[in-house]
Amino acid sequence: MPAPTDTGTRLDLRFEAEPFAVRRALCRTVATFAGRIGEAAAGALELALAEVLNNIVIHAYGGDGGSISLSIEFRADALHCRICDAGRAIPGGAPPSVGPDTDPAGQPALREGGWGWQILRKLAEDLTYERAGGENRLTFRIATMG
Amino acid sequence: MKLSAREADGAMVVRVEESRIDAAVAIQFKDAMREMTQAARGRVVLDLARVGFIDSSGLGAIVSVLKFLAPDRRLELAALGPNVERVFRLTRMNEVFRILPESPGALAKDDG
Repeated sequence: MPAPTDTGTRLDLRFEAEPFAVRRALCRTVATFAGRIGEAAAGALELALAEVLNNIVIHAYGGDGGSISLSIEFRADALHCRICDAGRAIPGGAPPSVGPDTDPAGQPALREGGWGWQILRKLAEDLTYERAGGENRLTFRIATMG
Repeated sequence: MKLSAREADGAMVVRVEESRIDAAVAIQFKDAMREMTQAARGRVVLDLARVGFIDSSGLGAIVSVLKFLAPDRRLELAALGPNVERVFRLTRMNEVFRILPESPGALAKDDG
């Protein structure tokens, strides 16, 4: 892994699409920003990123590995996140819309997966997705105030 | 995936001895829980006091434990930290599980 650049307000990492590499990247991210943004925002950031990165490992690269680049910049009361990979495009060309999280009786659906986008949409603001140059590029913001 | 089990308040209390239930260990967690709870009758309380992070893979593994313990045995959760509580709340799984603020017996004086 090339040496990451880390100026305190910005973190750039490149790592393998593999669960333990994702875990290390998340821990590195939290360690970098937690002291600046507080535990709650750091927790939201970690969870949002985990869902994006797990999707890339499983769906974009299909478990076969590949490269992920992650950039996070802290400015203007928000963490600006950008995640790129060279795996398969998101089907339909857009992050899936999230279905109802209740069953027909109004109870929370008792499922074992499919929460990733739901969690991300609840935590992230201004979620954008672009497929360009053979890459998936996802951007969003995590608020650090309020 | 390291787990430990004890009896308290008529329940089997299983404590997760690791700090994360994430995509890297979700399957190992599920397998370890299946093995650990084979002898359980009635309530099983999952003590998450030492867990600082759960992602949707870990959450899915916990739901699968709830399912395989049912209908005879009930899975409850205890001692959720703020990051763990968040993922349950965002997915509304906090409405599915009984969540105890403290692990059973955790505040009891040591008799030994």
